[in-house]
Amino acid sequence: MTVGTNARRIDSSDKVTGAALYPGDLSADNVLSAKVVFSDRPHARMVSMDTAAAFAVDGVVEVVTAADIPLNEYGLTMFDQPVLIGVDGTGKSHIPSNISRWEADQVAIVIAETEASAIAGARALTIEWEDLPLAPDLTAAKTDETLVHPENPINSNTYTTLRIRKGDMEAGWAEADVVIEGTYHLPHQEHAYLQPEAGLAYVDADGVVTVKVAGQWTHEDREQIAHALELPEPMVRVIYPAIGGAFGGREDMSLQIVLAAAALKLHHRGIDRPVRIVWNREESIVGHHKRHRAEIATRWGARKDGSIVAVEAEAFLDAGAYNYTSSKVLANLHLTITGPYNIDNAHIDSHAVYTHSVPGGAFRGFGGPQGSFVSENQMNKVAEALDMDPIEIRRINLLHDGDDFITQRPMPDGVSIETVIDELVEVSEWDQRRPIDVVVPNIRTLGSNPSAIRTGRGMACALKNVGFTMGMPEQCEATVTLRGDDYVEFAELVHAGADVGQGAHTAFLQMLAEAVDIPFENVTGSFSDTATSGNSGSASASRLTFMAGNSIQGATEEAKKAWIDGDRPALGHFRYVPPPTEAMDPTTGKGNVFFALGYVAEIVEIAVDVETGHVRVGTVYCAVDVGKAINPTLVRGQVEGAIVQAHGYALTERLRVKDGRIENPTLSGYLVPGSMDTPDRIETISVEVADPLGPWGARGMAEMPFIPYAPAVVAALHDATGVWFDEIPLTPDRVLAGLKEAGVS
Amino acid sequence: MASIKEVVRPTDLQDLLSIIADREVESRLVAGGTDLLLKYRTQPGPEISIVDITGITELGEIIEESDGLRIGAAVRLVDIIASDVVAERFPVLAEGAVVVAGPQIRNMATVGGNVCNASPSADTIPPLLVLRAEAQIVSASGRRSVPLDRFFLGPGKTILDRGEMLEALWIPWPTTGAVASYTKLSPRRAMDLAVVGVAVALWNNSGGLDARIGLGAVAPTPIRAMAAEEVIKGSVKMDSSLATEAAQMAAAGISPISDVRGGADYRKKMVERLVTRLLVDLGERVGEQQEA
Repeated sequence: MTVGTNARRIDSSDKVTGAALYPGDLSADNVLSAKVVFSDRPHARMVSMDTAAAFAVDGVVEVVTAADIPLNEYGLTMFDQPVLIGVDGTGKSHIPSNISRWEADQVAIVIAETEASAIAGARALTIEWEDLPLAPDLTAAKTDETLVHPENPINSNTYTTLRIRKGDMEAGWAEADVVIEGTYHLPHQEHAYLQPEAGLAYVDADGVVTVKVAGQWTHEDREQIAHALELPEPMVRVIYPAIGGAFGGREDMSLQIVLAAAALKLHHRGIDRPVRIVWNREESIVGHHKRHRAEIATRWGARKDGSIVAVEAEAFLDAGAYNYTSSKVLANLHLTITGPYNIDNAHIDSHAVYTHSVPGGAFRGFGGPQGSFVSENQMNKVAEALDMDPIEIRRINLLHDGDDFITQRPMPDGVSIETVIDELVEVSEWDQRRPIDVVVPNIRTLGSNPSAIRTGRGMACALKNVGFTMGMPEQCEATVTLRGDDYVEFAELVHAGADVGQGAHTAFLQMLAEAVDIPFENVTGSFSDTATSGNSGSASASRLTFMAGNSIQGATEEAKKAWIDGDRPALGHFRYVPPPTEAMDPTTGKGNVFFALGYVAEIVEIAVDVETGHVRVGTVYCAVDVGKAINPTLVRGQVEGAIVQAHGYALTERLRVKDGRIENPTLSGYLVPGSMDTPDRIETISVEVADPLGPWGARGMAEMPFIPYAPAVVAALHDATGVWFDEIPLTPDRVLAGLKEAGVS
Repeated sequence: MASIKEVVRPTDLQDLLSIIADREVESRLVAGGTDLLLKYRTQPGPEISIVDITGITELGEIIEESDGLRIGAAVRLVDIIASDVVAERFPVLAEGAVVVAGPQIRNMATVGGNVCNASPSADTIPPLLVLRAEAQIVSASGRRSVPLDRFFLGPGKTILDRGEMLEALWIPWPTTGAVASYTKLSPRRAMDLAVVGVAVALWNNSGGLDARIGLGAVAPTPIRAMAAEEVIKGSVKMDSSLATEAAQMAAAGISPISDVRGGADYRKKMVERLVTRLLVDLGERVGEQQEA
């Protein structure tokens, strides 16, 4: 048995010794350096750009501009962004290329002999701009006085709206004994992966434009590069070296297209030299998308017995200047506002709104954290109003197998939220109400005033889809080779799936060893190269273990058939396609939107110093249904990582975006939790209720532990102080102000 | 980034002073480099010469003199933290030094650099202010000494003229029975800047209690809360009502900015609370000193 063991990560030695090469480590003989020039204008029209002064800088070799991008448009879900801003660069696209809509819109790539020359060349570019009026946030953008995309025929910044119309709202409100209203504000969040964006590109001897970069989906990167540069896909090759974290932040393009464009332009000039770009931390924070800001107003009605009888909500998602994955994040937010609950009557409108701000995009949880912040705070407030235990009220409302989801279609089989909560309650001894022992250590030398410490406990739960949803094509390919004579001695896997640091490749090989039934030591793999592997889909949506596992099982079956037919080596290829999903009906939200889900519930224990507003998290209990833990240590790594990341979201990370500009693009100004700030203890409770479709029953689980953390902390803070907080992060000054307003501090 | 023309590391103070007196060359002094290199990595600027002061032995020394302690400008924070004489006579300074950034930074950064960088939130400055430190300044044309509370002009700005450098910080031996402490509040528990830093020294003299209060991160420079000190001066005994009154005076006298670490209102409230608690805490200790 290899599945279920703590097999050592296949990349561990290289990463510990430093042998593993990340994109920023890559170089080559004769390499050129390039600098990406940002517009630094949240909304402006480019009047002119003169590259002559840049070319005059010693060492500058070439400048790539909009004119070099034949189809100057980019977008994962809709083409709404020019690859490069330039006066006469729109070409075949319908997105005007002469308008900067975001401070980090890219305008040119300056290529030089050294990085210093590239920087000097970038500074020397002469660009004339005409600043235009801003719609920098939701409040301004919703008025439509200034349009971010006037070329869009709908003539409004509110460009996508989703609706739920379920049951009979009047009947629901008539049944309600209590009504709880809330308006919630969710902040941006920066991915802050260890490795800022970087890459190396060249045109190989066969004329293939090759880009080595960190991403989450090699084939999607290839498709986007090929689209913008009008190249046949086989003429583009994308290879991922070691990836230093992703979390959704590498789903959209940062350097992929421009690196390819740079290599290609050099090639056309007869300069066949590789070119590299390495972003620093400030460029990374300014230059890639964020978790979305959101504002959500809602009203819930409940009967005295605790059952929720009506949910009304209106959500606004700040998409920023370009869609990226916003329309899909919006859908996830939309469908999680009602949580993992069986709600008969619901009326929900959710809107994505363009603003002249940093684009919102994929980030661990993908709309779930925003939607669940609403569902869980509302559920906890209803429990308070009815004087019910937060666990008990959930038991009354939870979804079960056979229930209809909010989309008025049955949940996919394997609904396990009740089992997850049972295990959480048991391990945490929730019913015991043990005293909470947490020290708030943030005042140096003095320590906290003991009389200022209040403690509390809070819980929240959530569901999250596994895999693509709502009709988006979903598939995953694997190729397996079996070697040996009389019996299978070795197996090899070729797979595109990205190991972004989560350990995916180790899990793949564990599943291969299990499927072939040979020891883990006898399997090898080669990964993440569009030239050698089929399309795996992305490392996102908590899908990769689930999808890759199914593809590996299928490919192994195929290879075994070939083996039985006498092939040596025996080759098997398989493309796994899960049951199809449907888009939501635009007026009612009806549809079979998911094929698999994961479930999670958390309890946190906190202490708050009411004199300073500092919140310390003691123990976190996280129960997550993983279906089957392929590698329990890696599961624990995902749980702990997700909770630390969620800790930053809930408590410390505050991105300041003003007039379309990020004001704190540094890690000294944007405060991710340090190792001394994280919870004192994280208890991972791996629940294993098999998913009917999952390989060995495995479910996706990487996003789930993030999702309930913020509302659980809010609930604990309420338990400690009696005060509800409807906005995060719970920084000391916000907590203190809230406590003061409530008369607690 | 600014281009660095050269890095020089003189071993003789007079050589160093003649280099920085040279009007032709734009030079920047560096000791640990933990602030300077970060700044010049990103900010465009003229071509500069980096003048490393760590080659001059005496600048790295802590010297006990008859009337006080002399701390060379290139003494590292880790040296302050490890110093027996600092631990014995000026523990408040070590309390400030030990909460600057993290161990790697403290192994490089110097107390002179922390002072000359003149950050409003520098952790060693409020302790130095309450210890009545003096800045000993040297140039090719001579030496001068300035009380540290007149050294700072604004964020990153000091009274140092071109051609001058901080040679040492000099701290008089403390009054018998004096007690002092520094406390820092920051969003993160380590590797973070102060949202508020408070140092207090409290002692008895013939006319009753006396105090010095230094505040960080609440004004364009680290400051003394002199109005609060006046409230305490001459009082017979520190108690919570006196502490609160002084702390409110300290909070009333500041005009902090709002930034990622906290708003102005928050900083004022924290000054009030931390000054109160430090005064009460030190009031008990100064009483114990007297009884002993």
